Amino acid sequence: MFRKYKPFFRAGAMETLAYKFNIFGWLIVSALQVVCVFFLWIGVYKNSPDQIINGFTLRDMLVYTAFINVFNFVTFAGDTMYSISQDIKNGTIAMSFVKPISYRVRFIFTTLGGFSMNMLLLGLPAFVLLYVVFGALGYIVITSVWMFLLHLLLFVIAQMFAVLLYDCINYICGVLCFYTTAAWGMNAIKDVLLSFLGGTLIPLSFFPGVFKEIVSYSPFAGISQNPVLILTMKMDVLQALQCIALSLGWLCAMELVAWLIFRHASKKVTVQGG
Amino acid sequence: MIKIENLTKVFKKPIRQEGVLGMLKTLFSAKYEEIFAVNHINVDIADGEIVGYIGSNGAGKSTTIKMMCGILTPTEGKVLVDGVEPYKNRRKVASNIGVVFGQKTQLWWDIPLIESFKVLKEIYQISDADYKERMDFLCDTLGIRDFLSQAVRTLSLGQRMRADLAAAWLHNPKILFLDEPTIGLDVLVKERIRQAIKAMNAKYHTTVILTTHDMQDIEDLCSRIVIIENGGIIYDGALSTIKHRFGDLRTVTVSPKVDYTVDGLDTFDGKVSYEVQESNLLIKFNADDIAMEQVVDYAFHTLKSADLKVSEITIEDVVRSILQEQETK
Repeated sequence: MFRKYKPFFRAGAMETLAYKFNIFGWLIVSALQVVCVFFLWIGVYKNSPDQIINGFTLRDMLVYTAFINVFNFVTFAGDTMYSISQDIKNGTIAMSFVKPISYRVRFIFTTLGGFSMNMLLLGLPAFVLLYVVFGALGYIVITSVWMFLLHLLLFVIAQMFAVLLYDCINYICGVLCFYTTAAWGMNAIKDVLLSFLGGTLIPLSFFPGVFKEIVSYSPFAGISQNPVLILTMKMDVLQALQCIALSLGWLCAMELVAWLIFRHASKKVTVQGG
Repeated sequence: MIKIENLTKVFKKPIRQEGVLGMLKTLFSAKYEEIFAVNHINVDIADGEIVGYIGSNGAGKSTTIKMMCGILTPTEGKVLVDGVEPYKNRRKVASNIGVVFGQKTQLWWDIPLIESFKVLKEIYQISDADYKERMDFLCDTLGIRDFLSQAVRTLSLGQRMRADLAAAWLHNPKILFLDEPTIGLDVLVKERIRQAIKAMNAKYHTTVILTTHDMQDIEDLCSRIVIIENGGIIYDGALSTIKHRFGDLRTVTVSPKVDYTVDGLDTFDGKVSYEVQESNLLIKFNADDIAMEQVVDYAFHTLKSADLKVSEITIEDVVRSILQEQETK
C-alpha cells in the first residue's frame, strides 16, 4: 500500500544529502548558541541560593541544552510547509493533484526520508559524542545498562512521534497558505510558538503555575522537550510512556484537522498561471 | 467515457481600487466580482475519440481541462470521468488519466530523465514487463532515447515536451489531456508529437482531449472539435462539417495575361468574387454553387492565365470567422 511512496522517502533522503553543507553551517551556529546558553545557565546557578531549580541541577541543564539543540535540528529539518507554499506559488500543485498518491502521505515519506538521513549523519554521531563526553565528566550517570537501553528505545519512539507531529503542524501551516499565500508570516508564527512552547528556550517546568500544566499537555512539548527528557533519563519509564501516548493522541487529532482543512482548501484551490 | 453536465466555474475576483487609499479600502472591505470562466457547458466524449478543444486566450479551455482532471472543483454541474467525479475522488481517477500542461512540467528538474520515469513507474505501480514495452514504444515514437540520461533542466523545450508527453502516457491512461502540447515548438518536433499522439490513439485506444492554438494540430489529429468562447460552447461537431460551415469555399489564384479591371470581370450572377493581390488575381467562390470547371475554364481561356493554384478554406479561416462572428454579436 505504501510501496508507491518509496521514491518520496528516497527523494527526502537524497535532498538532505545534497544539502549536507547545511549541517556544517548548523554546527557552527549551534555550537555558538549552546556555548552562550551554557554561560547563561552557569551565571544563573551561581547567583541562585538553590542548587536545584525546578528539578534541574546545573549539570542537568547543560546536558539538556546540548541535547535539545542537536535533536531540534534533526526534528525541524523537514520543509513540508515550504514545499507546499512553493507548489502553490508556482502552480505545480496541479501536477500533484493528478497523481494517484495522497498529498499528505507523500510529505510524510519525504520528511521521514530526510529525518533518517539527518539522524544518521548528525543525530547518531552527536548522541554518541555527547554521551561519551557527559558520561566521562560524570554529568550523566548510567546506573543500569538495561534501564539505559529501555530509555533509548523509548526515546527513538518519542523522537519518531516528534518528527511526525512537527510535520503535521508544517503541513497544516502549508495548507493554510492555500487561503493566505503568506508563507513567510505563517512560518514566523510557527517557529516562535515551537521554540517557546516546545521547551527549547527554557524547560517547560520553568513556566509559572497553570501555564506550565497547560503547556506540558500541548503537542509542542512532545516535539522538543519530551524526547530529550526521556533520553537523558529525567523521566521514568511510566512518564515516558504517558508522554508517548499523549503524542499519539495529539498526532491523531492533528492529522484529522489536517485532513479536514485540506478537504476544504483543495476545493478552493486556484491554480496560478496557464 | 467523459460526461460533462451543466459544468460551471465561477471565479471571485476582488475589485481593487486604485491608489494607496484604494488599496487600504480593499484591505478592509473587499468587494468581489464574479467571473464565469466556464458557463453551463455540456459535452459527451466517447471512448477512443480525439477531441480538439479550441478558443481564444481566456475562453475557459484550461479551466475546463482542470475540472476534468480533478484539479479544480466546479461551482455548479459535474464532470464524470468513467463514472467518477474526478475532484471528489482524485486518486481513483488519477490512474486513468494522463495530463500534459504545455507551460508546466511534471518531470523532476534536477534528476536525469530516466529517473523521473522510474519514479513514475513506482508511483503508478507499473509492472516491469509493461514498463519495458511502453518505454520501447515511447522511445520509438517520440525519439527520447538519446537524452534519457540527461538532467531535465538541460533539455531543450522540444525535448522536454516530448519527455513530458512520454511521462504523462507511461501508465497507459485511458484519457490523455493535452493543454497546448505544441506551444513554442519547431515544425519537426510538432510533427513528431502529432505522430506519437496518433500512434497512442491507434495502438492503445487512448482518448485524447487537446487544446491548442495551432490549427494544424487540429487538422492532423482531431475528428471532432469543440469551440469555446467566453465560457460557453459555440460549436461542437465533426471537423469535416465545420470546414463547410460557410460552404465549400475555394480560392483560385491566377496571374492573367490580358489586361483587365476587376469590375469588368464576369461574376457568374454574383457567385464569384475577385480580389487583386500584387500581380495575382484571387477568384473566390463556393464550390457548392458553381462548378469548378467553369471557373478554371474562365481563368484559362478568357483571362489567358498561365499559372493556376486552387486552395481550400483552412480550418484557421473558419475558426477565425466563427470567433469574429461571436465577437460582433
